[in-house]
Amino acid sequence: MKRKKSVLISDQEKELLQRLKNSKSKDNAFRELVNQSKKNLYFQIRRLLLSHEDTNDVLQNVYLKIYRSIQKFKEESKLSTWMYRIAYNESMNYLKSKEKKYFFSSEIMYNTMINNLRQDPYFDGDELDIKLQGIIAKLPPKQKLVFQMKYYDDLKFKEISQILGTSVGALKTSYHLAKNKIKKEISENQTF
Amino acid sequence: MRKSNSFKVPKKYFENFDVEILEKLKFKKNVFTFPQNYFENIDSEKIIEIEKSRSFFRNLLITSSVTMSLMILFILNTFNKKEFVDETFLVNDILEENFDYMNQNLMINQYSSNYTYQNYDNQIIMSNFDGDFDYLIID
Repeated sequence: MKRKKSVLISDQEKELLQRLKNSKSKDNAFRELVNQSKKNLYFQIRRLLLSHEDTNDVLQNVYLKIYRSIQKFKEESKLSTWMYRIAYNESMNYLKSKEKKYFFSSEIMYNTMINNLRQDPYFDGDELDIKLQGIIAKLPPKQKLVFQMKYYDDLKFKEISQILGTSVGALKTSYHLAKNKIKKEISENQTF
Repeated sequence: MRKSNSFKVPKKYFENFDVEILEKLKFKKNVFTFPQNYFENIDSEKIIEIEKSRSFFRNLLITSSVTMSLMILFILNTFNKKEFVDETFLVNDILEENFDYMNQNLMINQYSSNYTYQNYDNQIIMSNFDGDFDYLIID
């Protein structure tokens, strides 16, 4: 028999979940959920897609998916972890569909995304930041995700493991590799 | 003799240079900005409305597809209705009409287009194209 994983969910989250799963209180609870999570979710998606417009499209789809499938949430992870996974999957699907639509290879697509940052009115970084984004974008998918989740979101390896379905050990290795690659590329190409 | 480098740097300054760059970048995590009032304008009402209208049209589509399929099935069923035939009687009839009692040969030439016959001694196996077998023993 499959044992249900125990996850430490706060009372507040449990209460919100109950309301989300009840058809009478669902809409109100959903409004609350959107208000609580919109900033986090936005930046999680934005770091994967880089452009504000793309992020805006995907964010709306993510919330639609959450609204539609909240009944299926088995509470084997935190609600935020589950939402993060949806956001990640939606972002990846969006990138794949973009690749197909414009007949891009992954590399060309990431180069275009990085170049677009230079003209992006909603990007407030200098060349070094663009460079960092470029290096991160070209990391292998798992390394990229682990690095972003750890570096930007300060997530614990255990939480990342729940989102990506990978063992903590493998995640630590990926993070270590990603960090070293970024350090190496930044110090090699940086002129002071 | 003049010193080649008169500037001093902190201990291990160069060894930790790359780490410091990363740390410096870490402070500037929010390089991504967004339009003014963007988050205030994220409207959960709109998302709920979209989902509700989507599910309405989805349900409508499912209902109409099911109705259409049922109608097609009904029409097909009405036009292709087969007459019920009790195969045992049919076989008996065929045997009675066609059995050559003198020579004990089975001479079947009518009603038999849908069946194949095999005669094993006194047992006649009749099978139709659906793979159903009817066994008859001739005494």
